[in-house]
Amino acid sequence: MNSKATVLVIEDEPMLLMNIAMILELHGFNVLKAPSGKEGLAIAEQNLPNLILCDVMMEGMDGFEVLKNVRSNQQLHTTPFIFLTAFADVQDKEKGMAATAQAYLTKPFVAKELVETIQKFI
Amino acid sequence: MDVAATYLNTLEKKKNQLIFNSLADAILIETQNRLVEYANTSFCTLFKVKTSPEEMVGTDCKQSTHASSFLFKNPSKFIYRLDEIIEASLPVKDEELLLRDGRTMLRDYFPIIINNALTGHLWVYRQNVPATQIHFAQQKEKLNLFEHVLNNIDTGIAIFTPEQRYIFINKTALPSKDKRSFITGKTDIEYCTYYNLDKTLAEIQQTFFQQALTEKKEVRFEETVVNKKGKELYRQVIFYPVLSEEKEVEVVIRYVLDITLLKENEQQLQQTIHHYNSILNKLNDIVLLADDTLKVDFINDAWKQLFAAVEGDNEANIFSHISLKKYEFYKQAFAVLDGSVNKADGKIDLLQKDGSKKWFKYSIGTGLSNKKNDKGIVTILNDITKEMHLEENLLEVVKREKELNDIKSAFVNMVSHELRTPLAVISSGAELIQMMLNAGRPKEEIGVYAAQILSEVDRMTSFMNDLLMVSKIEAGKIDFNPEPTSLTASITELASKTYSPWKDGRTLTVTAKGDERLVHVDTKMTRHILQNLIDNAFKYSTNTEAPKLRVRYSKTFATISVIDNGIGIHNDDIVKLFASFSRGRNVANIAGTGMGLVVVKYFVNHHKGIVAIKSKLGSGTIFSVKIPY
Repeated sequence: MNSKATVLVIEDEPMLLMNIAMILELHGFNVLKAPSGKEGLAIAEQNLPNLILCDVMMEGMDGFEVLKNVRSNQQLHTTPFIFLTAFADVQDKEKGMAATAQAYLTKPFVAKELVETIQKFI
Repeated sequence: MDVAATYLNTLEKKKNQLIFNSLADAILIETQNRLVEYANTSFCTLFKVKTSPEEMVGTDCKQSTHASSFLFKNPSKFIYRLDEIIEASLPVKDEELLLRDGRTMLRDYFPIIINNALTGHLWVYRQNVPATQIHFAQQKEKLNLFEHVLNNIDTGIAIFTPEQRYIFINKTALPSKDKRSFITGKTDIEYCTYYNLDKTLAEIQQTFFQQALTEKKEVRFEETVVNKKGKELYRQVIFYPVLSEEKEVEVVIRYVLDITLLKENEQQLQQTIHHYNSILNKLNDIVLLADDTLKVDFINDAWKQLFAAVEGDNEANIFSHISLKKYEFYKQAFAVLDGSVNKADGKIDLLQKDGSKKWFKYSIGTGLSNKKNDKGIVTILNDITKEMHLEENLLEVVKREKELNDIKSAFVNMVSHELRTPLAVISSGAELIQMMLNAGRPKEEIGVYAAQILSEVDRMTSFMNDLLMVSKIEAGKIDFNPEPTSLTASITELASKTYSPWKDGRTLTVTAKGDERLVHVDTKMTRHILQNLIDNAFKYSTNTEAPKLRVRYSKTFATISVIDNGIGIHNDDIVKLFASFSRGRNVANIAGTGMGLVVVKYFVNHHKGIVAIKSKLGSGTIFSVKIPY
């Protein structure tokens, strides 16, 4: 486990953003928080996190658009990307994976599973 | 003489022959010692010489004179007179010779003198027929021929002077020879008077005769007569004025054509058409016949029953009946007319008298235009409105079914999404409490997550309640009991119980304008509407002055306006605000289900009222509900 790894969490539900950040911090990650896709992308470009954990449905720039921008950014394009979303349909999952995400996690999630998935790609 | 001789000598021989041979007069030129120098074809014919003119050249004229003398009544006199003329060598003109067959012949003689010397003799012979006698005979012959021809033509012909007196009438027009003879020089009226006949037809004819005379052009008209057997005969009468070079009427020709058969055929045809039309009129299908310019020849009653009659229906163009916008129909009609296809069919919708739409299956084929006897089209329209409605209904059902499935699917998806997010907060909060308890963290830190869980449970409960409400509304299971209510009293009561102050300490201001009237409303629904709008106003206007509620009583309705100075609503969000789960883009941090306004709208609609929104992003929002009395 790389305890010094930085994870960027993009989530528009403030309470959930706070909880995810706390769980990851308790597991030794350095956490960056963004309440929207646009702000998340700006933080990613500035801080080059080790992994991005991103919600799908958000006002303005959604998760797919964030991923597209990440993949087309020379500095970020290899950054592991995990979707964490309330869309639990198989089709949603396939769509997420087709968009070159490393993993697709659904809400509600189990903290252990979330942490292990992140560790797998760092 | 000199001139003639010089002339003859200067002409080329061949040219002479050509000219002389084309003359009807017989020409003979002799040398001085009476040998034939030239004779033309007419000479050989007149004197019955068996050899050709060329073979005669060089023969002795004295011998041939004797040979031909038999033609004359007094041969010796003929021979003697020839010698006498040659002896004198003086010109002779138009000397008459009596032939054996009774006819006479005229002779000219010219001595041919060149350089004051007699070099030959020119003889010219021609048949002597008095001009008047020929003319008369010819005219008589022609007249007989014309009369014979005219009498054998199956058309009544008469020729009149400009005074309408008969010059001629043929056998067909008047069979009796005596009567034909009698009528010549007389008028029809005079004829009728003499034979004591009805003058009606004669008088009518007189009118048309005068018209032809005045207008100097052909006049046609039809008349009906009854023959001896009592049968009606139809005749076409034509007066044709013959004009002189000075454009004056010389004579007027009358033709009388028997058109009885034609008329009978026409009547029979009309009866046949009428018969077929009455059959076509009994059909349920529309039958439309048009010519090659798409002018309507016939439309049956089926059309008239369904569609507005166009003035002069059968005169009108097909465009008057079927809109030009029906492009495909006209494209096919012209394709049939120009022969590109034999027939065409398709579907068309047309508006009925009452404005409703009817659907037809049409079939266009080639036909004859009965007016122009030229190419036309036959269009048959079969009403398929019922079938189309069934098809439309079926399609509508399928479409609706698909929409319902889509809605259901979207709904399940949405509900799942809306529940999963608070569940994620609850579950992560619970896990964090556990982690913190294990880590021995202080109670205050743990308390934050416990409060989160309670808040999200509230949110989920509220969401479920809204969902249940919408479900009840859609299933029609909501009771609607309107009763005369004082809105001002209800609002004041609600304001004092719940919003004076609200949980954030601010107090709702209520004002009323206009003459208060009782409004027929369902009190439960009204309470729900008010609570929802007032709650929203407070929720989305924190840190500003408290929202206001204004009731205004107008003539026909009461208006409740809830006004806040809050965050406002984005223009693009306003239009979709009343759709399920729709929330403004700027309220992500404020708890809400996106269902509240859906319920408000349903309830307002139940009161036949309307909801209006006026909002400016960052400045505030006014929700107005208008309810009729």
